[in-house]
Amino acid sequence: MRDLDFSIMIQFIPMIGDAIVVVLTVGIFSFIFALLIAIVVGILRSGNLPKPIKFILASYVELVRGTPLLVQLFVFYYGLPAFGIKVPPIESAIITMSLNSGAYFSEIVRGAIMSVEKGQYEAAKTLGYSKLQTSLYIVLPQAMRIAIPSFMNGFSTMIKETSMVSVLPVIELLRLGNQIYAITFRPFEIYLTLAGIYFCMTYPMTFFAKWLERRFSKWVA
Amino acid sequence: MGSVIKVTCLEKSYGSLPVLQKLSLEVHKGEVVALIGSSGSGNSTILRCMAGLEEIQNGDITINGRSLKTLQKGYYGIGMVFQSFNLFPHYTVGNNIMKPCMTIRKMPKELAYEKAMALLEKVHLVDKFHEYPNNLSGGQKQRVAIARALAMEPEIMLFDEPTSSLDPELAHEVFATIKDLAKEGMTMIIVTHQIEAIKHFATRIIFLHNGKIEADGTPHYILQECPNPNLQAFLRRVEFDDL
Repeated sequence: MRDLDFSIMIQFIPMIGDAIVVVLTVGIFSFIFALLIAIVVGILRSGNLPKPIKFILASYVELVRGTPLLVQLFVFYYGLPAFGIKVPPIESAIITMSLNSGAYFSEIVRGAIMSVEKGQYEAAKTLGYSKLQTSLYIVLPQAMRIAIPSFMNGFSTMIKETSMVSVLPVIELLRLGNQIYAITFRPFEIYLTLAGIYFCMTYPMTFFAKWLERRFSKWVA
Repeated sequence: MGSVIKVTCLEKSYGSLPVLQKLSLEVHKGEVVALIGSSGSGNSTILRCMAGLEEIQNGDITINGRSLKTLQKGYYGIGMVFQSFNLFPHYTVGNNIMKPCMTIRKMPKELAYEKAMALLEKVHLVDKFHEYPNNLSGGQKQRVAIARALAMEPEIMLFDEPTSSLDPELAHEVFATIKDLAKEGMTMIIVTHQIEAIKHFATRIIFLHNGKIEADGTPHYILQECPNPNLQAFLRRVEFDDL
């Protein structure tokens, strides 16, 4: 058994910095787009829409939830060029992860919307609010408060899931770790360092989530 | 006095269960009408139909001569106060009143603020302007709900069991506010089981039984003279419940 030597990582710090930027870029952009997808799909699915549209939206959600992210990444990056659609790797990662998490998040939004009391819709209607105004001003703010803890949890998961993007030609943390391993043959130091970096990126989210929750919960005792 | 609201041959059923059966009713300006009857007799359903919360299956409701069927969108002059208050929990008390004014009536913020203050003064809750509904008592919540409905300047106010979820002391607060509105000449329809409280200011009491109007008259007539056996049985039951 040999001694642990984390100093071997020092020479790779600039590359690790670049990889962190890639992880955060993919993670943050995917999260923002996933949220937008989730809000639109969640609102549409909780409303009274024509059956074909409901079917399309339900199919999207079920298809995404029923297949692994890794397979979706392969289909998007390696499969689509067969149809003449070539998307650069980072953009592919962002689009795939947005669609993937958007489907999961949309169920959170739908559940949160459905948990808003019927009386809120009725009060809004008697005051003259249209359906759109009721959704925007009355239902969504209340639903968002319910959904925030799940969203924050989802963001942490997305940051960790960016490690799957290592199957694409993108130098993110895990792929960089594999490359460092090929040079140094010090797996424990490398992957433990990576684990620490992922932890440092996701742990502060719990504080941010609590702050956000407090801010959105001023009206709750 | 012209009729503010007119219900003609209204029919409503939930599945195969008829709730309202060819019900006709006219309420004139300034009248305070109490709708009484056992639970399930259709009292709340009439209000919900008037407020556009229930689909009208047969018959018609007109507000100032205009059919509700043609007034399905936007605000059409009916204020509704619910049993469970239904205040918007994410808005402060002030914003519960101001936001609908600004959003629906397109009122400038300053004007909406003045209106909210005036209405909160009316229901004696000015000091609660910045509070969230969750920090209010049931009676206070209901008074804010009344102020919010009044902010839209309704032609008629509907109260659906406004004090059912309140203890007697808080119910008294709410009835005092409703009584003040009655003095100002507001047209109101109130569904309630608290006959003792309502009899002093209602101008008319209507008794419903199985979705039909069985008695209609002044409080004195309904509570002292009307011979209808179903009404008599109901009044005995209410009296017994109150003991």
